[in-house]
Amino acid sequence: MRKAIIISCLIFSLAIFSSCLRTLYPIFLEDDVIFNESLIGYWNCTDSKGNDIGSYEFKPIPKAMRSELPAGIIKISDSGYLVTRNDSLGHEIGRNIVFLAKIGKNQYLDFYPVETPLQKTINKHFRDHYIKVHTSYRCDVKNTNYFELREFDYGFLEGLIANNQINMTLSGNKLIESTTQELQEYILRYGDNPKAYGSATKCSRVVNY
Amino acid sequence: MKVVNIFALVALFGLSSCLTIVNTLTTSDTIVNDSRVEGLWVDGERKQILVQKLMDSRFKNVFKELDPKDYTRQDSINYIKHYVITYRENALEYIWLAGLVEIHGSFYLNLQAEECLSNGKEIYGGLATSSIAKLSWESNNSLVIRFLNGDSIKEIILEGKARVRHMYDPLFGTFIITASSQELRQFLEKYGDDNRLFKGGNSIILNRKS
Repeated sequence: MRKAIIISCLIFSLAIFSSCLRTLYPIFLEDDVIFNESLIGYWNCTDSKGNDIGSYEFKPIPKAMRSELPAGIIKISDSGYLVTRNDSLGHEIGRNIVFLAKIGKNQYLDFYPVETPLQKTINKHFRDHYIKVHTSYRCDVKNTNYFELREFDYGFLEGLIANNQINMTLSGNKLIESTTQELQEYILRYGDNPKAYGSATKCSRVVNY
Repeated sequence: MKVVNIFALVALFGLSSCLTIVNTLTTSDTIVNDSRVEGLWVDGERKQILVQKLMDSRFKNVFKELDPKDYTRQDSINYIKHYVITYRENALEYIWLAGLVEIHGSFYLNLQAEECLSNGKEIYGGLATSSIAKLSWESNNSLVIRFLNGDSIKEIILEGKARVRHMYDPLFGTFIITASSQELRQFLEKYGDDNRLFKGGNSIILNRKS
């Protein structure tokens, strides 16, 4: 409930979001980006307990959309995806520009939100007050019809920072201010540690949709 | 100043980028109230803008909805001194939170986007940040709000001409001020009277309706 959230926005204290890791910087550099055509398609996803949590639709970034992209992204947009996320009832709940990146021996998806047509009708001055943050997942493509996503766990990183085990910068609202280089150092160091991730989201291809 | 001249000065929201800050300028120690800002105002587009004390607004019961462990006494002091700004534009209802700070005799507004509603349903969300504007009174019934120009301040900072904690990602073009409330205050103490910070930025003039 938004009313209950506003105080958190003011005091930058506890979570207003889930326990995932949100970063100001992307986790990837241009050279890390790879393109896996098998991700293109429509995927139904469940949580680790098998509950339906909605779907993802991966498409190549449409050429018509490129003018809306940040200048730095346009040149790598051929390697990106436009991902639409729907809830379990099929209602759209978000659109993102997504890049698949190889960091160390694992692959990761970096999600960056884009505005829906309705949101673009909102006063620009108002929209300028919302910053877009990156949310990243380890992506394990098991075969052409199945992949798993694992969100970075905020609590794990928070514990490392609290115990001075890693030098990263936390801002309010569970936001990580660390640069891409610092984020990659973290990923390379803890990328194979299961505790660094939340439970897996399991996505299966919908063949006919 | 004649009304006609006042409206000639108005530049509507959205012409340039505001300066986006992660941490608010206000703290429980620095936030102030000034009853002159309360009331119903009209801008250059004849849009009606309601400014209420937070505790007179629909957010007044928010503390009852929160776990006391989630906020401190200082948080609540800061919070209840905020104003709620509400207006309608193109069938959408906009709600902002505003906090007032006085620095070297000038008033600054910390403006935070709160909600955008369509038929009562929120249609925009994400990580809300704030912007800063200088507020001055032409009279008790007319006030001028001049926003810091985010584009020119970004240029100044990236050229190394002013030092404020920030982050800049050239790949996605993200630029955000990450300075603390105290650092923001120090920045305004030093540069608040420098017109270059505001030149080309958004400004709005409000005239009291009631």
